[in-house]
Amino acid sequence: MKIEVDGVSAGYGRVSVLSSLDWSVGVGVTGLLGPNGAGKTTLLHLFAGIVRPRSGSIVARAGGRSVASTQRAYGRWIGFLPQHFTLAPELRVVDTVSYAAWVNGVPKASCVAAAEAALDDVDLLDRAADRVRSLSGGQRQRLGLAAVLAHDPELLILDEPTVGLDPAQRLRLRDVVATIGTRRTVIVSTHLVDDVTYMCDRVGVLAGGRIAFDGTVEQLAELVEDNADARGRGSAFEQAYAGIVAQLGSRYE
Amino acid sequence: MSERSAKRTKPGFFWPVGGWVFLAAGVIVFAVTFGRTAKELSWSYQEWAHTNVLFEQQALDFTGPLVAAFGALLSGRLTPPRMLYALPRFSRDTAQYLAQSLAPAALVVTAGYLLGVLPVTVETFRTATADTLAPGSVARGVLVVNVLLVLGWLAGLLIRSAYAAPIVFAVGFATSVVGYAIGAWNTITPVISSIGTPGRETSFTFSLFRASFFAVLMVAALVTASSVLTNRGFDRRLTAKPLLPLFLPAALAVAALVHPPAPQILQASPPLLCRQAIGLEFCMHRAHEKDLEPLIDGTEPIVTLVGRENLPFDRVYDWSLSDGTSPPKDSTVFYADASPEWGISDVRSQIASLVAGSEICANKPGGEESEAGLNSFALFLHLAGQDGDSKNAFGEISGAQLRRWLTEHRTAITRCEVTDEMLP
Repeated sequence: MKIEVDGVSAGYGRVSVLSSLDWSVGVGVTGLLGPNGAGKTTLLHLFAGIVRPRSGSIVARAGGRSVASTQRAYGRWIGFLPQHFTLAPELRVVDTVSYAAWVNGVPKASCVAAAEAALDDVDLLDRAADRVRSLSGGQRQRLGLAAVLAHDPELLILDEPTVGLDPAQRLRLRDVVATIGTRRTVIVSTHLVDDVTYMCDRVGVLAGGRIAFDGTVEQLAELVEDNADARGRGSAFEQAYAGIVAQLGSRYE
Repeated sequence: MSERSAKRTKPGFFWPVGGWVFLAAGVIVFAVTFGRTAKELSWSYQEWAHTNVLFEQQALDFTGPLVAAFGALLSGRLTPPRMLYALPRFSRDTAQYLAQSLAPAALVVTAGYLLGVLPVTVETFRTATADTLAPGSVARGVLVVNVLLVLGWLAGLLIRSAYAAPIVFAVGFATSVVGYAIGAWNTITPVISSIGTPGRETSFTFSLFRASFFAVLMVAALVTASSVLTNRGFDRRLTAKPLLPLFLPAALAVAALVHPPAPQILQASPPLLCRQAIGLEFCMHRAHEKDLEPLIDGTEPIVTLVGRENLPFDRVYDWSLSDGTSPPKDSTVFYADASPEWGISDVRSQIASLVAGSEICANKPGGEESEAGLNSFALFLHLAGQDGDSKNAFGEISGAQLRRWLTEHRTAITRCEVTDEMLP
């Protein structure tokens, strides 16, 4: 599935966050980077259809069909894992995921099968009958991922999914996301360089209200030579990223 | 593992919350409803006029707020937009979402409510001697229960927290109190304050308006909930727009408060049971027919004491047959209270008071402390058999002398002018 952002502007009240943003994202894991306040969450909410663009459009295209983010049918195509989410601890793991599947359009009779497939994807099937309260933080994060995967969305939007996880849990989640990215379009917002390095096929850098860079991780790292001001302690990737943001003089930084 | 867990986790009717939550809610609703209607089971018999009102009164005053709180608890736990299965954008049709969210709860609270009132209803079928079950009362009771469930659910949706539950319970209980306390609010509060007695029936206008109001409120609350679900964001402030459907029931509420329909009217042709005894005609509402003999038995001693000729009435009727005016328009009828809870009222004292002119003296300025007032009181005590060992002037004379004295001084008695010189 391909998702196309065409001239999108968005904001809250009198504050403009994004202006005439164009972007195109295809199958694979795409990292979304940007300084705090650049509008990453707003852009993710636009992708998720939670916020309507003030102008422009976001259209998902797959199999000869296209659906705009403002259409009701769009919800069936997307799975959105917000950075902060909650789960009812008293529910069972499988009920949590199967209910999320039902809410997102899966027929009731197929919900359990869908939930078990999603739990299998995130390696939590053996905990299906347990209560959510018995899961660790990392397991809950994977449960959240299963919940947004269960209706088999074409586009998966993950807002800082590895925040708060220990290294082992992060590794496991990255594996899961990378595997999902082999057949779905995944957009991951993150501040963690390693997330991008080891999980993403492509990177988009949001700065100044628009996509300042769109390319592979390697292409971003190569830019370090062109950004002398960004030299300092850190990986080539981090320096390139900082350089791009500085070069654009983001008013949001 | 997969096959085993699939068998265990097949979505059931109470999914995803789990049956035990609903079972607990149903049991609590049953217990409270039964508790609020259990007092009637100790009565010597039941009357439909009372039981029919119970459906919209005691059976709802605690149950209603509890049901609303249960609705708020459910939505407060499952619908906050940061819950992964309640994100602001989901593709499930909102009508299906509302049905899945509310139908199991509606089933258990309705079942709990109906089972709670079942014992008193069965007992009424068994012992009542007139009238019958009013399906409209049952239907309105069920309707109100479900409206409160939906309103509570809506409150949890708007407040976005299970903490909505105690708030909703408090507000619900306050409306119950208002319903009991202020007659004009009866049409639109969950409980009505009308006392169900034979000889009175709920007016058609009141019933129709009340049913319509709660039906409209139900639809408006559902439409509002649907609108809120489809228009909310994570942090977006609630705007007034989704609440617009509630304008219609609000307008109806204002209309009901400005011009409230009369809750009860007199029964057009109350079924009677009459009998001649001790020179008087006794008539009871059929619902109180078991109290006819006790009424005659209770009246006989005072009639024997004062004589038929000194009674200002020639008929003794069940109060349920009166038009409610006090004093009664027809002074030839004495109205006696009959109740399955208390039995027959103290007829002897009431008739003694009437014959002794107690009320006349009480209504006269300074009458009770006057010489005539004290003499009237002494006469009352003797006629009511409450003078005990302290013999007053009337205790010294025979029954025949008493009857003769009463006849001779009737005018003075009815004017509260009995002086000490007139005493026997």
